[in-house]
Amino acid sequence: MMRIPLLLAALVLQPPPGQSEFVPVNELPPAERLQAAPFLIGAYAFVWIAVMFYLWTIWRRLDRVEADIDALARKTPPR
Amino acid sequence: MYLAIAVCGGASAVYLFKGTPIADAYATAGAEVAVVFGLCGLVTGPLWGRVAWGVWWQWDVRLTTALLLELIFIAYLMVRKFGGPGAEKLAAATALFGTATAPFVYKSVDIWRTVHPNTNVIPTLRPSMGGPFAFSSLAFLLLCTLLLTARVHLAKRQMTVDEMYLAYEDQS
Repeated sequence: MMRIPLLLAALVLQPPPGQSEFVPVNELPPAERLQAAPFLIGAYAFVWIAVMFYLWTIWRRLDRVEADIDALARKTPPR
Repeated sequence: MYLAIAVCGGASAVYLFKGTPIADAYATAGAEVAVVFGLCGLVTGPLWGRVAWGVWWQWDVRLTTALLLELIFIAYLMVRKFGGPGAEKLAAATALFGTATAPFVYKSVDIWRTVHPNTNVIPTLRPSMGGPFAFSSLAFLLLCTLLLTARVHLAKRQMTVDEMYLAYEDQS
């Protein structure tokens, strides 16, 4: 008898089951809907900024390497 | 991210067992691009989670393992940067661990009970959603390839500098 409340508590505390199929947002109850636009714009903005920043770091490092190659080519006498 | 990890893992295995310098260049490029894409996933994922689950973050198996995978590849880059001489081999071994972890991250949602959608959601997407999803996947694969190509080019030029510097040292 003591175990029944524990079992009930364990059942209540179970996490919700994993979603196994696509559910369009317009089929959700209104209470569960959020305005997606700010999140979507935020996501796109972050990805663009991250990719552009990474490309910029590659370009900057490449510039530095090319300058090193030029400097070493000037120092090294032609054979 | 998985493409970049596959490049990094494959190239690291070649570098670890054969010592080919160009493989090390591909491995570094793969790791950096994997970290960039991983960061994008870890930032944009919670934005989706806020809309879908009502919370920014869940210590769900997919999110947690994705975070660990990101940390493994950040560790790879840190070992390369601060590990001193011979750190390339240690980094390559770290990359192999990271690559071995990646399939578990992908399949984690099918193996363990989780709130994250399973991988079998993709075939159930309706054409209105499936089309943009396929297009976006292709676009991201191309973007990943472009970033990898640019980063490999940089690594090759760095190798040229190293060779020129050694030649200059030998002469002087």
